[in-house]
Amino acid sequence: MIEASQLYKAFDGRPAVQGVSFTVPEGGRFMLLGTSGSGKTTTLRMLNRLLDPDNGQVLFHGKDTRSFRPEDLRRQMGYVMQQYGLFPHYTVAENIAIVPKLLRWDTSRIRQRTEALLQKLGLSWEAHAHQYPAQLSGGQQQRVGLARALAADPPVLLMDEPFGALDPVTRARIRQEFNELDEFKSKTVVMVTHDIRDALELGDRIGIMDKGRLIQTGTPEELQQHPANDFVAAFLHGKTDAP
Amino acid sequence: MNDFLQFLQSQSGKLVEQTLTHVHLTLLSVALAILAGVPLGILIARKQKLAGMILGFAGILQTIPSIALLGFLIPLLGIGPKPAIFALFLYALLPIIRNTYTGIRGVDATVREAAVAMGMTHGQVLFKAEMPLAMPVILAGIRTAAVINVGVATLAAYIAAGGLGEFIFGGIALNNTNMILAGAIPAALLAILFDFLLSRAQKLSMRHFRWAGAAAVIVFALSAITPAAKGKLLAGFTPEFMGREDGWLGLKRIYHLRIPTVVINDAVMYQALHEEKLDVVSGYSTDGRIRAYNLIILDDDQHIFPPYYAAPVVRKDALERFPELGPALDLLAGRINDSVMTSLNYRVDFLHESPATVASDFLGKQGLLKPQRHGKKGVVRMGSKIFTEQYILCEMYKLLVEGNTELSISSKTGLGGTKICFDALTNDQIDFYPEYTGTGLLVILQQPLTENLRNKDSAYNFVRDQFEQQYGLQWMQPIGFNNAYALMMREAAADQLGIRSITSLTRYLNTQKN
Repeated sequence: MIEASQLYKAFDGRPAVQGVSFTVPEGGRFMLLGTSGSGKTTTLRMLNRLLDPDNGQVLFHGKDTRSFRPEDLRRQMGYVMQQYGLFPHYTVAENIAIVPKLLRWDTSRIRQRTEALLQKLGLSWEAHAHQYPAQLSGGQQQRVGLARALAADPPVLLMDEPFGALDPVTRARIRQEFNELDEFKSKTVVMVTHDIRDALELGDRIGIMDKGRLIQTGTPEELQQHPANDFVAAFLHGKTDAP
Repeated sequence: MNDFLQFLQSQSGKLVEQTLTHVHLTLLSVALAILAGVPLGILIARKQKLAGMILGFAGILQTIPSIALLGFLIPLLGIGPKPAIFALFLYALLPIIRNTYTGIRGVDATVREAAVAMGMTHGQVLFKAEMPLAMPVILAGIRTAAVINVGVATLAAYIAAGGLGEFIFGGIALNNTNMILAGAIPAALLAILFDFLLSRAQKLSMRHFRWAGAAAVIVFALSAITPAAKGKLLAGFTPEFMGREDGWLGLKRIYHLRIPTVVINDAVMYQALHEEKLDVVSGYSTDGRIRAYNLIILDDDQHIFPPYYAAPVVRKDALERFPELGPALDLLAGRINDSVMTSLNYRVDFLHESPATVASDFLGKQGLLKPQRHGKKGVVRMGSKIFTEQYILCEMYKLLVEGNTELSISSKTGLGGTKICFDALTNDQIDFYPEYTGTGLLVILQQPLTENLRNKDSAYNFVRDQFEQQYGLQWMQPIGFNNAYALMMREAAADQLGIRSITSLTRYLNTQKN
């Protein structure tokens, strides 16, 4: 479903991502795991054309993403950010309704969808729909962020450190809730994280990145049993698991 | 306090009209500045390279003195609301552009990225995310601009655009505190009101803006209904002239003159007449611009303007100490009539000759110029007010005294206004200066104008006698010209309409109405 081949991106002449290729089949959950500055977020941003690669290409449904209008492409790929990125001037319900509105859903359908999503994510219409993001806790904000990304039921979900700003207890809980969500199970997911637990729990394949390159790709078991080099081994054993 | 309320009551019609005009000028200029400034602010928030240039340019506009800016605009936009609104528009630009820029730059990058990542177009990112979030800062800029413009809009009265400045500047010129307050208090209240309303707008969320916008449109439409009587001829008078009995009040009372008037600053009045933006103005009868612009003075056939004949006023002790001084000063008596004085003023003001050259040329032609004697008998101290005519007269007196006597002159020219000259004279700081009978009568003696005093000779006799009795000062013989208030028109226009006097102007206007 998503096919990245030989992605190359430099900023001010310094390469941030070089020679990155991977394939995520429909329903696959691909984890890009690496330290800060390893190029994983840059890679993710090239998938929905927040950045365009200097070289290489991304195929979506077999078609070069550059043949899409960027807005249309992005509306098919839910996006979850570490800092939530909620609109502070919109209520919870309005934040969740952003993409459905862009897609011109009718009001009652938006309302139904929002209510259902809030419920699935442990929030309620009555208590939360009309609150503003600033009135919510970090965990609640990230739930709203997830609901917003899922609202228009996009086939793809791109997640950039979605649990990165949460404390370890909340983080583990939301991760687990999210993993059990039926919405999530039907998506093709690409997620960026530096947390090995996120990757092991949520991913069916993991790509380890370092210094702009994808060092090794495989299932969690493959990587744990046959790490390609010391860096991968060390990373998987949590020795460099520091943000 | 009672006086003030009475004044408000008697002028309530004017007050309402001026306030509405003021609101209109302020709102329209700020609205235009929003239309131009907000897009510019958005543009420079996108294209950083332009930011320095555009903010710098708007900053320079802000530093141009307002009266100078209005002066520049007359040849381009004429007089009236157009140049006033344009100038106010320029002053409102900087705060609006700068705050739009700052507001948009200040939007959280995460929010902007989320908007893009969700598939919003550029326009949607701008209108759904950036603008609403920048709105409090943008509104703060609009608020600043509106409050500044309420203040600056008082200057609209300089170029016939009306507003509360008419009362304020009229009151200052006429030394009428009630009139100043009648303009200043509503202006201050307007500033506070606009500030309050916009502070409320800042607290509204985006969805309420539709209503706020509708309310603004209604206020705007109401304020636009300002009475604008446009007859065939238009008169422009200074704020001072508008409030004087020997001015617009007298013209209405004695001549029954009915002509649409606008209030205008004397610095731009002649130019506006010349450029056919006005048809009649109030001026001074020996001003050099009369000649420069081919204007004619309408005959004051019912004598409402008191005579302003010029003559030197001298300390008695100086005349006694130097008996030859009086005859030397009187050499100029009766030598200069109105048109000659106008020409002399014209040569200095428009041909840029020095007052000394003009003075010695004139005396030479009159056969009065004698070689300077460089006498050592004594020093006479001469004063003058600060305008061209007085400088020329003083140069003449210097030449006459130093050529005909053994006395020498020490000049203390440029003594500001009447009050300063007169105080210098009574306090023995100077020995003489040229004064005008009307000024002596109305400003120094503070004498109410009676019918009798409108006559040239009786006015002169009156001030001569009173000055001698009250201050021990001697009025010498009048020089001849009368630098009084006068109504003026372009000569060509007056000829075409057959207007020569104020009475014929009244008659012409009456026939036009029927």
